[in-house]
Amino acid sequence: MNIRKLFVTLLSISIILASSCGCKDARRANEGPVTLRLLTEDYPDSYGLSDTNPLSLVVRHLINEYETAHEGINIELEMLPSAPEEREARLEELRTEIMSGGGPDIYLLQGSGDDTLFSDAAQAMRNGLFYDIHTLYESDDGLGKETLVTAVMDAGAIGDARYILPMRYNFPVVYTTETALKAAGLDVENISISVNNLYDTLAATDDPDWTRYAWPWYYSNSLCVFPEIIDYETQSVSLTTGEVAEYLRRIQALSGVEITYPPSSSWDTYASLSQYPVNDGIVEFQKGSGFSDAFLYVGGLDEALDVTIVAQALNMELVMFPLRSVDGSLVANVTYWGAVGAGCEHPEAAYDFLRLMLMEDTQWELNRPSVPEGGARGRVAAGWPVRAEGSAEILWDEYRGRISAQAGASNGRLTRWARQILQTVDVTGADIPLIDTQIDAVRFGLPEEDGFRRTLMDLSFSNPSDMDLEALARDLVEGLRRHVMEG
Amino acid sequence: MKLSAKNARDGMLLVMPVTLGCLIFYMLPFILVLRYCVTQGVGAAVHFVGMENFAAILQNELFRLAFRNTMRFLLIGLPLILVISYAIALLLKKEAEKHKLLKSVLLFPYIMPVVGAVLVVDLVFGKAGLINKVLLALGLPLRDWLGSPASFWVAVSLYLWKNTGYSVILLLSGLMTIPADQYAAAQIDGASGFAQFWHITVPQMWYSVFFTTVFSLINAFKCFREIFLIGGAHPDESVYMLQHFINNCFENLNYPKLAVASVLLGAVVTAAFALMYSWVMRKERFRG
Repeated sequence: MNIRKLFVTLLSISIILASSCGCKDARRANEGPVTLRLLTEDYPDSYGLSDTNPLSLVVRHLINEYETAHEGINIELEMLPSAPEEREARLEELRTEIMSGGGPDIYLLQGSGDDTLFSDAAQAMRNGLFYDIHTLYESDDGLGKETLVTAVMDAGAIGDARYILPMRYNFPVVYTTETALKAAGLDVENISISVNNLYDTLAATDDPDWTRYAWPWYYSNSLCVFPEIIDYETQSVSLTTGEVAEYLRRIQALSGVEITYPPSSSWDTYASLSQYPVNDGIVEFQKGSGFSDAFLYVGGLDEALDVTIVAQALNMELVMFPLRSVDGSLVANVTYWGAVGAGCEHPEAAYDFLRLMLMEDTQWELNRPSVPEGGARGRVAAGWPVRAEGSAEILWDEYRGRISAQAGASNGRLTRWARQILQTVDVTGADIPLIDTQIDAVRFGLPEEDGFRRTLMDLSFSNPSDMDLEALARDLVEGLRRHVMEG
Repeated sequence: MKLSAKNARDGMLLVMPVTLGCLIFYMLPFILVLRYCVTQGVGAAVHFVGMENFAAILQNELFRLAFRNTMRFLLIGLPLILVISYAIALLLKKEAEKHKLLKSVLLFPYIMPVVGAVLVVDLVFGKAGLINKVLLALGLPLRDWLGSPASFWVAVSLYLWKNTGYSVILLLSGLMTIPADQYAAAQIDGASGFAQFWHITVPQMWYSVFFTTVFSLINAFKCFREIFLIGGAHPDESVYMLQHFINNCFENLNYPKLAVASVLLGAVVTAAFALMYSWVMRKERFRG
């Protein structure tokens, strides 16, 4: 055989091999034992008091249940490492696996953004990295889809296809009190219209007690104030430099209010409702209660339960309203979601597991391990459950049960605060009306959010000129533009 | 078995490992990349999209910027390094025989680790670097050499500094193969230095020049490592290269984009070198 024929033969073999690479034939479960790879992360507890997110523990519990109920199906759990170098190396390996048509079968991940496997879950959907579970989802009559928040669930679908099951969501919420608002002459109807109205009104008070807690680095999602950011269909950035610059000027006006620090003995008067430490899973209120006339805290929907509990225990007339974007629309973020990998050979089995995360037990944390293993009891885990209807009462019931269970573990000892909560508090859906608020837009996280949050924090320590603000705005928009064009 | 057939068989066996290696580690991946260029999605979601990916990327502003910068870098860097290396090689030709260590010294910048090179760049061009200190001493305005359009010229300078020595070695090797008696004969006939260079050196150096250009191109792409360490994944626009675009597309799990970018770059470079190769072969025809 001469060289030319040999080359042609080898080339033909390589083309045949290449065309078969990356293609996997679907195998049916009844052809043998099935192993599903599940990728998730052990996110730190919201308060940073525990390295274990309650949902990670719930996932382990569900895996045991699922394997018991489905003989022949094993689920291999993989936790992404948190150490930076190890994590980066593992992410590179996973990206290469996914590229070659493999990768995990099930993803359970918290949001998206910088330093995550999918920096933008919405983009990942469009790039065909997840399996289309539309048929499985639509034919799933036992899921109780009518009690899931439609706007949030729609974020996981593109047209007729569904790629992601959103499981938790969040949006920024302003917490304040009737007394405080009346004392300052603030009209809740006005300040709840949009973030612009809120900032302008607070800046006009010239009162640091009002402005300080509205600073936006407390927000779980720093970009929630912009209604439209990216148009994935046209691969363009809708947000303009002008819009961002105007927002930064408002922040600067807030930051410009001169702060006079009170004596240390009265620091607790400025404590936000959520800033109490947890001792062995029982809530203790440090330094007693007491708030100044000015009170405002911008947290998230995920804090609504604990804020309501504390307000009731302290007999305060709590006022809460969503922080709306610059044009008055409400933007929410998906904070925890699941998907079936595009390379999954057993998508039905994978979906069967994934749907367990949407069932009531998981959504309302009924199968959450007890404290202290289950983590600090404060905010609900990783955002508010997407099965929102009826969630407030059940979550409160669970919370009450955990306090009592903890008392049992501590020889019946309850702190004064825990006793007060058990005696005076009863949370119903009417106490957290935010759950029924109409959401106008739902997004997954973006990698630029962390950088923007740092920009906002820096604003409070510096006094940039208008040109500097324009430059910062341009940086954000440019970052988003690069994100869209490279993703 | 006849001797010729036996020789052919032995030859095949000898080249088989390399051929198989090239097939598995170059050919197969290249064919896979071509497949990614005309599909979207991975695994079960893979579907054929024809030339859609190519059309989309040609409208991608960032890709166009990266492509322009890469071509600009090559069109400026390659001729510069060839001219400078050629000049140095010509100057060193007489000394190279006497001072064997000279060739090793020329390679020092080339063998310097990437991190070392980056440190040197930072020491010289950083905000508190040597150049800014000199400017400050002279009362001149300071410049952000690494975070402004000037970073393109810093990248070119880094490329020239690191790789000129290597190119000199390659060209010097070519120069040493030209028989000295040709120059002696030309000198006797009264030919000037330039005439000797143009009529003796240049015609016999085309293949060496082509060889050096190929390696200079490879080294130009390696410069990405230093640029990445200096400027990160998103450096100043002037040094945002195709490798940045490809690397970032990989991070964002967009394989069709990176595949198309690689194929387009490969096509342009292959076309340019094919033209150059055929031209060089025409020039070398005198060797028989």
